[in-house]
Amino acid sequence: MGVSVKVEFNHFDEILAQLLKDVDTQVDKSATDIAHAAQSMAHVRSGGTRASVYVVTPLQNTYGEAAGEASSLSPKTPLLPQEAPEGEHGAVVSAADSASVYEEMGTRNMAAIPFLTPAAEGYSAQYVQNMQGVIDNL
Amino acid sequence: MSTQNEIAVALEWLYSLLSGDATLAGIPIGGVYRAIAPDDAVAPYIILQWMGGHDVLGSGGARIMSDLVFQVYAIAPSDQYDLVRAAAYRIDQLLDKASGTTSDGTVLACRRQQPIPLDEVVNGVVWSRLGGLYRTWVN
Repeated sequence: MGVSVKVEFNHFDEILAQLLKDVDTQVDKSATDIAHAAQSMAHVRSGGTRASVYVVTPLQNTYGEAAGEASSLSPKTPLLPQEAPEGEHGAVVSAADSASVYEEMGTRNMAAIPFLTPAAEGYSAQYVQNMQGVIDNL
Repeated sequence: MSTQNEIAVALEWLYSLLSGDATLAGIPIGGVYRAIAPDDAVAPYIILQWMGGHDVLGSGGARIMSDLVFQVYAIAPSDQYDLVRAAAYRIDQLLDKASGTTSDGTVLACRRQQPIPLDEVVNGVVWSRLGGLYRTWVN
């Protein structure tokens, strides 16, 4: 008389939870790296634009801190409202200083000195690689 | 492979395409400029501005192409907004899904990734821009 043992596993919930946790970690890391790169590229007059660079990720929101520091450096420059990420696992890297729009995009009288777009572009390949690592480590 | 910096190749292609177009000339636009227009430029005019990019590397670190983003827009005092709008539409007709060559390299593809509107006040007059961020792949 034979004996058979059937063991069934269902760890999909745990796998999904770990995957989303790792995704959030990588999104947070990439956003922070991009913000640091943007700060290093920002044109400095009063320092308000550089100080106003902030991140909103699933793990952190630095808008308040950045806006407060920008206000103290450039008290006359209005602040932009906080941008919201698209989706619960998305992130935003932006600048709260309203002058940053014209710095990034240029004006009739001033060539653009982009700092947010080149920062994001510079990390795009690294971001894809990091996300591939998340999948590989499942 | 490009024999020049890829940004220069892309800018040459953009300038050539836009400055040589009869429809844009008929709007009329006052010129196509890189980064900033001279004080005596006649509005509306078109600005080409590099915004960022990165190299695409292949096996062994060989550079296959550069992935570059440019802001391309028409700008004028807001009372000429109809002309700005017509120019922005024609810019997109010419650039989106386009490709081409210059004497120094090849623009493999160009796609708009985001439309751009922006208003600003210059000496008490509102100036309006309309255009987009265009991603190009250049080698």
